[in-house]
Parts: sequence; C-alpha cells; structure tokens
Amino acid sequence: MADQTEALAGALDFLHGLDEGENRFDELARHLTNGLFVLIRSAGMHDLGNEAMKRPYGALVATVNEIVRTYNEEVSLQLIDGNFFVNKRLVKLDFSSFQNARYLRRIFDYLDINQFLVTQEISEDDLRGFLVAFLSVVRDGDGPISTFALNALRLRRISQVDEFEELRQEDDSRAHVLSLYASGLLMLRQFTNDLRKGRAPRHAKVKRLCLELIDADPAQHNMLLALVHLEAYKGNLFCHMLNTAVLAIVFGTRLGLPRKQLLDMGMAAFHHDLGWALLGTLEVSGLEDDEVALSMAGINYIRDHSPAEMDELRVKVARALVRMGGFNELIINRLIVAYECQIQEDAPAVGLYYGEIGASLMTHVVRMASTYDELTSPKENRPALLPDQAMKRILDDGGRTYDEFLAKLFTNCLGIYPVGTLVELDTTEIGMVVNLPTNPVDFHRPQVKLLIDRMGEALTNGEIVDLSETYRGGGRYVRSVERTLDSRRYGVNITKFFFG
Amino acid sequence: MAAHGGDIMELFEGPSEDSLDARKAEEVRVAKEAFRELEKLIKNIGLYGRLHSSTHRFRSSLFTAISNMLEGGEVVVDIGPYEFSVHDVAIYENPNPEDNFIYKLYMDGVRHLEFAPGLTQPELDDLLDVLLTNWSDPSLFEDDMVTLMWQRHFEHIRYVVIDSFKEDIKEDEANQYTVAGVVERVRTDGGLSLQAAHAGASMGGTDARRSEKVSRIGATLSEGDLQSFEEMPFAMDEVEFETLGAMISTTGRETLEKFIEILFKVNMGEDASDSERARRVIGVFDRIAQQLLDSGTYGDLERFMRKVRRLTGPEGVELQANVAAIEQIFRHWTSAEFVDRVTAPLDEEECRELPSILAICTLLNNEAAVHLARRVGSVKSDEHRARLLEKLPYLIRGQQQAVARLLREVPKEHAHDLFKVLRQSASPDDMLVAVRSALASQDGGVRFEGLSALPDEYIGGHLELLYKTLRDPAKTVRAKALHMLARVRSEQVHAHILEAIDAKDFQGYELDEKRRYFAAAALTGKPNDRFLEVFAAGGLLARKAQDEQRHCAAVALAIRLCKDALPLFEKELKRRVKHELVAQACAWGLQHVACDREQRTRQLYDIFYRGELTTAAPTSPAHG
Repeated sequence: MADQTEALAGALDFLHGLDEGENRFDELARHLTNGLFVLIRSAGMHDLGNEAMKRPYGALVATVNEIVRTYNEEVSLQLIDGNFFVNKRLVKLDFSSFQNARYLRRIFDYLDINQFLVTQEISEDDLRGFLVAFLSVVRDGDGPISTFALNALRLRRISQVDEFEELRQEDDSRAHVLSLYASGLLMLRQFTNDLRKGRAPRHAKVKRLCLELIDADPAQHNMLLALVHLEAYKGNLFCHMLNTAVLAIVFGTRLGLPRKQLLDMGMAAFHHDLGWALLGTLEVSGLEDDEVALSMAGINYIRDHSPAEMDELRVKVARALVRMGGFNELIINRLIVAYECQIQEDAPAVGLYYGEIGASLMTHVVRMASTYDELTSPKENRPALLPDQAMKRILDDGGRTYDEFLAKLFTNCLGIYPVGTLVELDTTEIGMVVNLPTNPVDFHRPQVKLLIDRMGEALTNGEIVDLSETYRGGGRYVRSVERTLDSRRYGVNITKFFFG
Repeated sequence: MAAHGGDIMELFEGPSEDSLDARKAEEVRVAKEAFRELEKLIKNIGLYGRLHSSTHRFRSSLFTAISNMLEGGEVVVDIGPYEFSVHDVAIYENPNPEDNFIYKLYMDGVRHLEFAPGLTQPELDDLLDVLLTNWSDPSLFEDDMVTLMWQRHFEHIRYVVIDSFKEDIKEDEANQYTVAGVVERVRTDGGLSLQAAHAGASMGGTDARRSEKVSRIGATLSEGDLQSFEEMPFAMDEVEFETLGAMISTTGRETLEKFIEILFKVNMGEDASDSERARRVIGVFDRIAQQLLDSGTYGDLERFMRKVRRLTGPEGVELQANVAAIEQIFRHWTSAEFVDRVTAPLDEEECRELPSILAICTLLNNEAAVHLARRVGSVKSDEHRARLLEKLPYLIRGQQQAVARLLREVPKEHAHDLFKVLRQSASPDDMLVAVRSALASQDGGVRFEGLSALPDEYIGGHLELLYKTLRDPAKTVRAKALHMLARVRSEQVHAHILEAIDAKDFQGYELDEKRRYFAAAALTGKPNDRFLEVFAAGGLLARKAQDEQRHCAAVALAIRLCKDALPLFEKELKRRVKHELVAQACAWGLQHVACDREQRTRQLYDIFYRGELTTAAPTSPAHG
C-alpha cells in the first residue's frame, strides 16, 4: 500500500514543528566551531588588544554564554574521529564553516588536544588568556597548552575510547552482543523520551537497531536471549520494547522468515506499546510523571483500570502511532499489531474488529514475546516468574489467550527451558541453560553448562552438555531436567553468568 | 606583538597532493577520474531525469571508470560533510547542504565507503539509487542512507558507520543510562544479591542444602564456551509448515481490512465536531482510494470499499455515527469523476480487473447509476460495454428516472442501450419519463427510440405527445407517431391527422409519407367525402402536388373500402391521358378492395413500414 497519503504524512510535519529548539542548538554549535577558528585566525593577524579583535571576542563570548545559560550545561567542543561534537552532538556544518573546521581540526591536532571545554560563562579576558597561551605555544614553542591555567577554559586530550567503543573493539562475541543490547537500550530510552516530550524522534535509529538485531549472528542468539533477563531496566517501556523485539526476531529467524518479514516483525515489536509514550496527559491521576508513565506498570495500570473502554484505549494507541507519520506497508502492519496488542492481560485476542477477523500472526508472536518479558519482570503484586515458568504459562494457555499452534511453535523455538534457566538434573548436577536445544524435536532438552557436579562440588569451568544425548545412541538419555531452580533465590545472576 | 597571521595559518595547511607518494598519487588520480564521471551522470540526471535513456550511457561510463579505479585493488573513500576524499585529497565536492548526498551520508554517520574489485554494474546502480533517493517521500520517514544500503545487500561495497546514538546519551547521576551503567548492571545486576540473601534466610532442609550447593557457583561462561556456540537448527514437520504458511497468507489478506477499520475508528474517535470528523474520514479514505486507483489495484479497492460498507458497527449493532460517516464517504465517491476513474480500464481490450470494477460499481451509492449509465456510452471496448450493460438494470434501481433523463443528451446508440436497460427494470411511469426525455433530444434517432419505447397501454393517455410528434422534423419519428396514432380510432386523433395534412409543412413531405398520413386518417375516422372531393379535383393540367394529393386520397378511399370511389377509380384508369401517380393508386385501390382481410392488412403494413404500395398478385410492387 505503499506508497502515499498526505494526510498521514502531514502528521510528520506536526512533529517536525517541534524541532526548533534543536535547530537553535545546532546553530550555536556551528557558531562555536566557526567562532573559535575565526578568533584564532584573527589572533594570528592582529594584536590581541586591537580593535579588529573585538568582534571575534564578542561573537564567541555570546555564543558560549548562550549555550551555558540556555541549556544550563558546560560547553564541550570535542574532536572525535575527525568530526566536531558540541556536548556530544555532531556539529552540522555549512560549507564555509566546514572549511574553517578543517583548519580548526589541524589546530587541535597541532595543540595535541581533542577537547575545548568551557565550564561556566566567560568574558573577553578568558579568551584573551587562551590566545596568549595559544600564541606562546605556536610561536615560542612553549607548552603543551593543556598545562596553562585558563580559568573557565580547559584544553586537553581526553580518552576517546569510551566504554562502548571498548566493547566494540573487543574480539569477543559477548562484547559485540552486549554493545548491541546496551546501545539499543539507551537509544530506545532516548526515543521514547523524545516522543513523550514532543521532540522529533529519530526513527531511522530504531530501524537501524532492528537491522542490527536481524543481522546478529544466530550462533549468538542465546547471548541476546540471556540479556532479556537483565533486571535492572525491566519494567521500563524502552526495555520492554527491546526485549520483545529480541524475542520476536530470534523466534522469526528460527522459523526461517525472510529478512523483510523479520524487519516487519521487529519494528512491530518495538512499536507495539509505543503509542502509550505518545498519549498526552494520562488519564489516571498520579501517573503524569514521565518515568511512571513510560513504565510498564503505569501502562498496564491504565490499560487494566482505565474508565475508558478497551476499544477506546486501543483506538487511542493506534491514533498515536498514526500521528507518528508515514504510510507504507510496514507502518500498516505495526499499526495493526499495536492495535491488536491492547488487550487486557490474559484476555484472548477476539472482538477486535467488527467482522470475524482475528488477530494477525505477527500480533500473536509479539504478544507472546511481550508476555514473556512481562512475566519475567517483577510486578507490585508478584515476583518475576522464572524463564521456564513464563514459557510454561504460554504453552499451557491452551489457546485461550494465544493461538495454540503458535504458542507451541514459540516454546519449541525458544525451548521450554529457555536460556538462563537454572536446572537441577536427574544426575544431581546443577547447571544453567546456555543454548537452545540441538535437536528441534527435543525442545525440553536444551544445552546446559554444568556448574555443580554430582558430588556437589562447584565446577570452575564445567562442560556444556547436550540433554538430547543418549547412551550409545539408544533411547535412554544421559541427563534430563529434574527440576528448575529459582536462580535469584540462590543468588545466581543470569546476565552476570553470561557476561561477567 | 607582531602580527604573523599568515605564517601561523600556514602551519595548519593540510598536506598537498604533491606530497603523496607515486602509488597514492595514482590512486587519487584515477579516483578523481571516476568521480568526474559521477558528476557527469548526476548533471545528466538533473537535466533529463533518472529514467532518461541517456543516463544509461553515463552510468556505463561511470562503471568503467570505477572499474579502472579498482584495478589497483580496494579503494577507501572517506566521507566528509561536503566532500569525498582519498588519501586526504578531495576527489568530489558539493558545497550545498541541500540535496547533497555527501552531506546526507555524513549526517547519517557514514564515514567511509570501501569499493572492492569485482564490483558489478547492478551494485553500482543500486548505490546510485540510494545516493539519489528522494528524501521528501514520506514513506522514507524512518530510513536513512544506512538502512537503505542495508536493504541492498552489497557484496563489493562496504560502508563504515559511526554509532551516532552516543550523542543522545547524557551522563546521569546514577550512571544508569550510560553504556558503562548498562555494562555494569549486566555484569552485576545490582541489588540481586540482597534479594537472594533475603530468600536464603527462609530456606530449610533440602532447599538449604541445595542452596549451600548452589552458593558455590562462581563460574561464568568461558572463552571456550563462547567458541563452541553454534546456530541451532529448527525444523517444522510438514503439517506445521503448512499451518504456518496458511497463517501468513491469511494475515496478508486481512491486512487491508484491518487497516481500514483501525483508520476509520481512529478518525471517528477524534475529539472534533461531526462535520470535522466526517471531513477527515473522507479525506483519508479518499486518498487511499485514489492511491489504489493510481496503482491499478482494483481488487484491493473493491475489498477496501466493501470493508468500508461493513463498518457500521459490531455484529448486530448499528452505530448511527458510523452509518452517517460511511454514507458521506460513499456520497463523495458517487461522483462522475470517481466513476470515470474506476471504469477507465474498460476502454482497453484487455481488462483483468473487470470483475472488480463491476463489483466496485455495485458498491457505490445508487446515485452513481446516472454516471454509470452515462459512462456506458463511452466505453470503447464492445465486450466490456456489454458486460457493464448487463449489470446496469440492477445498478440503476431506484434511479431509473434520473437515468431516463440522460436520454435528452446521449446519442442514438447509447439511447438504444439505455432503453434496453430501462425496459428491464423501469416501471411504466419511468418509461414515460424516458420517452419524454428522449423526445426532447436533438437527435432524431433518439426521439425515434423514445417513441418506440412508449408502452402501448400509455398511448391512449398520452396522445398529446404523439400529436406534437406528428410535426417532428424527422421523417422516421413522424412515421412512428403516425403508425401509433393510426391504431387509435377516435375523432380527436383523426382531426389531428387531418390538421397535419392541412399544415403547410405537409406539402414538403415525400409521397410515401403523405400516403401514410392519408392512410392513418382513413384508419382513424371517416374522411370519405373529403377524400372523394380531393380525388375529384384536378384537370388536364394538374400539377405534381395535386397528383400526389389525389394519389393519397385514392389510397385512403381504398383503405376505407369506399364503394363510391370504385367507379371513379375505373374511370380514371380508362382515361386516355393518364396521370401516372393517380392511376397507380387507383389500380392499387381496386385490387386492395378485392383482397381478403389478411392481404389488406399486409398491404397496410407495407404502406406504414416500407412506404410502398404492394399488391396481392405476384407482380413486382409499384413504388411510390
């Protein structure tokens, strides 16, 4: 249905109209970069007290102080990988300022600095002090410039390799998965906050995250599934979005869905509850605070206790998504999923439409993924379920809430003992489920990393055993799950186990 | 302090091209050459558009130049906001931030493009398509250069992207929402140990022993474990596979229906006045319909409209607001313009969408019948016109009179079709409207169709219509009216026919028509005396007009079986100097009165329909 109606596209304009604040920042960042270069160039041509210096001084002082005052923050002009950032936002250069920025980059390199930091409002005198230091380094060979005391100004070289890049540079599959998950988590938080605050959201970043999840090596899907149990962020909308997408994409990949459908499914998973972030003032008092409003507890509370009819809430969420803009096949699918997902907990997906149309396949998948994440998150009235308990709930639903066939496929794909389940085996050994079953038929026989041996001794590096292994290839299994254990109760941390 | 500005800035000049070693300098040279071709191609596209045939030549030149560039091995092109560079030397620049793919690439975080030997023309074309994307397309609102390149599956082009998300991340006091914060929590999941300790305190017996055992766990996944992980297969049996396939296909089919209902509810749920809501619903739904029309997906349009029709409310409930909105949407679509667009493919000889188009026609409001009835006349394909005509009797129900009024303006063939349609569904009253409308047409053929369509039982009640038509400019129409009147034996009718015979125009009619008027007069009244008088008039020097009058009078008297006229006929035939026309009528009259009733009826038929005087004898007919 591709293409495109202006009516829906018009919704984008509504959001773009809220960009003015950001545009001003971009402008100031550009002025800062340009102004600093112009000041330095002028200092090379004129005496520092010359009348010709007044203008560059004034311009830079005004720019810096406006940033400090307006945004109530320090001003950090940073050179990262050849690009200038002001307060971690990329400076959007026009062509003339780009030419100047090229020189400024070389000046930074010459001075051996990558940050020009202003800690508070400044005056012409502060800049004069900086120029004196600069000229003495350039002309007299003094320095380095970072050793000069410049009041509110700091010129220095700081470590560029932050934790994130460190992770990316590590030649460890764990680090790659962790960086992907961490970046996704933070980006989605920013995304939901932007939506909530009426700022233009960066849709392309969400799509990029989805593409990265799809491209993740299937051999590392178990690592991603383990991160779904990271409790620190559970219960937040952004975390729920990510976990639902991870589960849906892993499931879809195992089913062999093509990339386009995986993208569709991932984006639907991201968006299935996103409409809540867009709803204005929530109708239940005491939930206006963004942190609460963007929590699953807040969303579930409204969904389950709102005086409005469920159908009305469903429509509100859908409307919010429609306003996000665009009108193509992908948007339509995710709109449908979001609409169909607004059902009270444990209620079947029926009566959504006037006719006899039921929920779509994608909705069932997203709903199961979403439920799995919700069940494994602690709630006010109950602790988080264990991974296997959550999976069993879905499997035992018997078609009441989820499509029975898909529920069976879902549990088969992700294992009745999902990654992260602490199990005691019939051999008295204890271990952690670390990977999906090797034999798809034996979905209750995953791969387990042994942690405690038969003698009750802790293993420092126990082997990974495949529970589908039989004695001499016969019908008797070497090991079977006797019972599952509450990892939290025994102080075993799933994510720490995988990534610690 | 002395001013040495020039000197100082020299320190910060970049490396010049001359300072490169020979290999690098050569790489820069061929890269510049290649990207010059890119510049030419883009200029050409700017002038003639992307689809112009000349672009093929430029694309091919670019591919040759890029292939030359890659002869020396892989080439890495660095991306700045306004330039591509190789070895820090600009090879392609565009200083404009608007419509500038270099700037867009840069802003989307792409910092290097790496071209590898083996690059194919389709790959290069794909890259160009991405670079030249029209970003004003609203459907691309969540795409950027990176997502579009991802969708292309390049094999010989790599792109290096910086993670621009980090500019979104700000420090927070608890260091919770930073990469370090996330990593720390992944590796420790703070607060958990407390919970575990708490839980452990309440354990007893086996639990406590197990707890004691588990508490010794200190291991984490090892490097070896990580290396051992492989992709785990998953397989479905045939039944599962088929079930899943069916679900996917059902989902696809239902997508449009669901989307329509959601969109409808979303708009109906808007906090606005009824009229504003209706305006929005119409606006959105009309755009969808137009889009489906644009894309030629008539099947989807049919499903779309069918679905809209069914949006009245939940099963068994009819929501008034919904009904009113649906009515308004369809009223909007019940326009000539919409009907013309929907039926446009019927002009083609091949029209696979015919069933959908006909179905769409049935979904429109009844008022659309008029537009359909008008449109049927201009459908170029005979076959498709016939198919639409088959449907029309059903489609025009309730709108027959409106359709009938079209007869004032349509041409003869179209009128013929419309009368055929009306006869199948119109009441006699409707038909009367049709006849009146047809009689008001400028086209004699249409007026003739109109008269022919007047139901027999209505003739007696609408003689005025026929009297008027007796003076119709078209001979065929007059003939038809005359024939119809001839069957009504009444003084009034008779008087009108005689009046028409006496009218000035009558003298200009051809003989066969004059004869018809006289015959009609003979059939509707008793004009014997008058016609005997006419027949008796004349002399040796009779004019042609007078001969014709006498001829017609003779025919009329014969039809009347007037005995008094027979001797006059015989006398006329014996005259030495005969008036040919008069003699012919007399001879015919004599044989006519000698015929039996059946033969006389046939001869009357020939006068009215064939305009001929025919005789019972197997001799050739005497033409008038």
